[in-house]
Amino acid sequence: MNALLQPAPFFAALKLLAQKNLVPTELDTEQLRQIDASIRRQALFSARMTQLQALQSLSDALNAMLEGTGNLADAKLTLLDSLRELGYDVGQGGFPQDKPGLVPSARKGSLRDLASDKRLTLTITTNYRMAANQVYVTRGLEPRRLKQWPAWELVRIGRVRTPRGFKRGAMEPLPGDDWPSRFVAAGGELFDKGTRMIALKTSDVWQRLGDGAGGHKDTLGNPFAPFAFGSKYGVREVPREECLTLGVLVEGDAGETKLSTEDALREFVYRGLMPKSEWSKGKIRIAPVTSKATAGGVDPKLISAMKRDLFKDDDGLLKLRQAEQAQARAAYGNRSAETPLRNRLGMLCGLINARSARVRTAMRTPVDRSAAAKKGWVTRRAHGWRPSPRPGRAAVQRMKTEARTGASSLGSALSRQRDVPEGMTTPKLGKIDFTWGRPGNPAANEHGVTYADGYGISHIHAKRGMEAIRRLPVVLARGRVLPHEEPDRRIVQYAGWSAIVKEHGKGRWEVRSLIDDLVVANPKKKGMRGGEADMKHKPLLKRLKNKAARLSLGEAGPTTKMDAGEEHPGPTHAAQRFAKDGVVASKDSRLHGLRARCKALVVALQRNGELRTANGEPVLA
Amino acid sequence: MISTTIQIEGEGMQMLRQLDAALVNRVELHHDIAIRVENETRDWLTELAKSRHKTADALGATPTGHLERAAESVTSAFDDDGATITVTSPGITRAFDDLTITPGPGKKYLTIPATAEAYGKRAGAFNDLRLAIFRKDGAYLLALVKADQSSLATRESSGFGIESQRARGSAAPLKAAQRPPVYYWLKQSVTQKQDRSLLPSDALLMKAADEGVKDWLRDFFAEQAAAN
Repeated sequence: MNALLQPAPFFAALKLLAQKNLVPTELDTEQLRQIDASIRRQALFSARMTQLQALQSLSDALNAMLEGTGNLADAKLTLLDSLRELGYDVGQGGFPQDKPGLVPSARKGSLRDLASDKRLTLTITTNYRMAANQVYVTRGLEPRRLKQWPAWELVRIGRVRTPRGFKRGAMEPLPGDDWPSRFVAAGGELFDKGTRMIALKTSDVWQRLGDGAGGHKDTLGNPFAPFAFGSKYGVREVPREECLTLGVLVEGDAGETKLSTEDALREFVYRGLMPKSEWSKGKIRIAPVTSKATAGGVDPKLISAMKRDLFKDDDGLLKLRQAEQAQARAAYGNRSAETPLRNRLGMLCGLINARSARVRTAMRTPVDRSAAAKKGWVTRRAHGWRPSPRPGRAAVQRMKTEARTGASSLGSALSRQRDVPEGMTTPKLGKIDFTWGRPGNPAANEHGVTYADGYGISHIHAKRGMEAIRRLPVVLARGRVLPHEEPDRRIVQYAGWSAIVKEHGKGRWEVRSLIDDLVVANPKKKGMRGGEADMKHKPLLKRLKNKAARLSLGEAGPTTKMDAGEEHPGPTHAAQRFAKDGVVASKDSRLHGLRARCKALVVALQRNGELRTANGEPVLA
Repeated sequence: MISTTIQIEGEGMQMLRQLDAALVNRVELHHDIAIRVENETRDWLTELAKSRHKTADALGATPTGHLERAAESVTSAFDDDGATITVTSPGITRAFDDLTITPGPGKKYLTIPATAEAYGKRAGAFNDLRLAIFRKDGAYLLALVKADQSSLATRESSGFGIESQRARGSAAPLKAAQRPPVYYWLKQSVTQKQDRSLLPSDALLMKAADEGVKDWLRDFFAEQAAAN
């Protein structure tokens, strides 16, 4: 069928919606406004909607709209059916399951009536628009796009009976309530003879507009559209040349759109555009923390100090610039602040340099394989066995994070019994979709295989049960990828389990099945695909399973990168020994995560040209 | 599929060589094209959303805003092979071909709203509609009508809900006020003709893609100038 005639899902918004927690609440709109907007953005809720089932229906309805398989009317009916099923009656105080008096009664048909058409429309369209615009604004801040399209313009996107700035149902103006007035109250400027509301994407105007600058109480607290309830205003990107023509941007304005790593991260967090992030008391916390998250939990003063005082010498080692006492005092504020910061910096340099130096030394020193033979030991090494490279600490952390993400998406797929696109992402495969599929026929076919015609999550659940479902994300995150006899499929094998994934788009895979005891000795051999068919090879399977369980699976992690741009093929046996000696900060150490994050910061600084040599020249990546 | 030809005139063999090298990996070029075309499509749909409300206006109803949502759902993706623009809206496929709408699984009829109150809602949202069969010129028309709220016993209709054009025992046709209000007409399928104007024309899209190429070239030359 022509691909153009299929509805195209809005994947990014679906993913954003899947990350939101369902939060039943008895609070009204005014009370909900008191909660920080960045926290509200992590939740799916509606004022006075106290039942989780109703919120689940809302989520399902929004999913259908974002997948392109449902429209607003379908969504309203889904939510309305759920409210009816729960026995909702606004005249009796809402849901019968609630405690008496929890939610005050309201007039039927009003906005406070969850089942009224106007409330249903407002709830669904507001949440839809929030998801769509959050994606749009986030993508608009990508560096290249930001450089070429540096500003947003606030524009009308739909028709209304009574525009904001006029009393509803009458043409009596409400001064200060129209959008141009709100825009100016938020610190924005009007361009093109006062007809266009444009501001740079990095400007605080958008957050202030969402906060209701000027005393407006109908806003949602977001730096993206919709900026107020029932608003038909949205944003559009303004290209650079238009910004220069209108005077929004001045040519040659250094740093007009350039954001350093720290500033970019701060902007992201401040605007709450990164899910599950918070910015408080000058510290940035970004979750989930991966090896690439650079500023999680690091004191900004330390970041500034690193930029100012670290440099790389000719040997590629990080050194601390020796500052005069008075200068140091000035830089760090006071003497008592100076020492801990410089000590921390010094310690970090030591850790990073020591590991780098020792790993380099270990690489240069050949492992003496004959020593074991001289002692008369018959080792596996004598027979040519070499251990598979163990994943580094950062790689393990990443795999755990990927597995957690996958488990959460899988839970969502199971509870809703529907596909979850981009359920998880792994570096080896890319994006993995959790397709619901079909369970298959439980009766055994002529080969004795049950559920033979099934595929997807429903098939795995039906055939293998919850144990397999629990293992699936771990297998996908940690497993090694092996070829399959069919060219568009792969086997991901870990600890005796094998997941079969099928490519269904560039860099996109869907999970087809999860098999236990798959023979991987010769995966291309025909017939060796199903669990039941392999039962005759039990002794061999058991040996292979034990071997798979013993071997460390997975690739070497990013900790094998010693300095920016420099890699080595993988940690050697000697390097692993050094790692065990505690050259790097141990897991229990306070510095363990901090070291990894600071090292990543150093790499980022180097990439941005902010790390200098002793002569003050930038260190090139 | 949109293809672009880049022509450089004048001196600058070195620049040509650098350009040739830069075009080996076209990800950034396709990125710039994708954004231009995405914004062109967004702006187009936004303009349509402000003005195109034929059915809602005919019924005197509040527009559903499906074109606004379509505009806000426009996204782009790009890689070395090309750029893709995605619009999430069931009806947008009408831009490419006739659209035949049939009932969903387990359903036999489509419900076409006939009144402002019914517009933008599913029939299931009402709990007081009943099936009515109208006879007109020998043909039968199925509809969902608002049930008589006063008393079922006094409803002027046959037991099977066949609405007559005449009151019982009378040769005179029913007055408009006596006819039950039709909320939905029931149809087995509806075909909507292709409407290419739902999306920007090929010429506009090509122009946007050209602008994207110019963006990339501008950036490329600026980088070269900075490096020199």
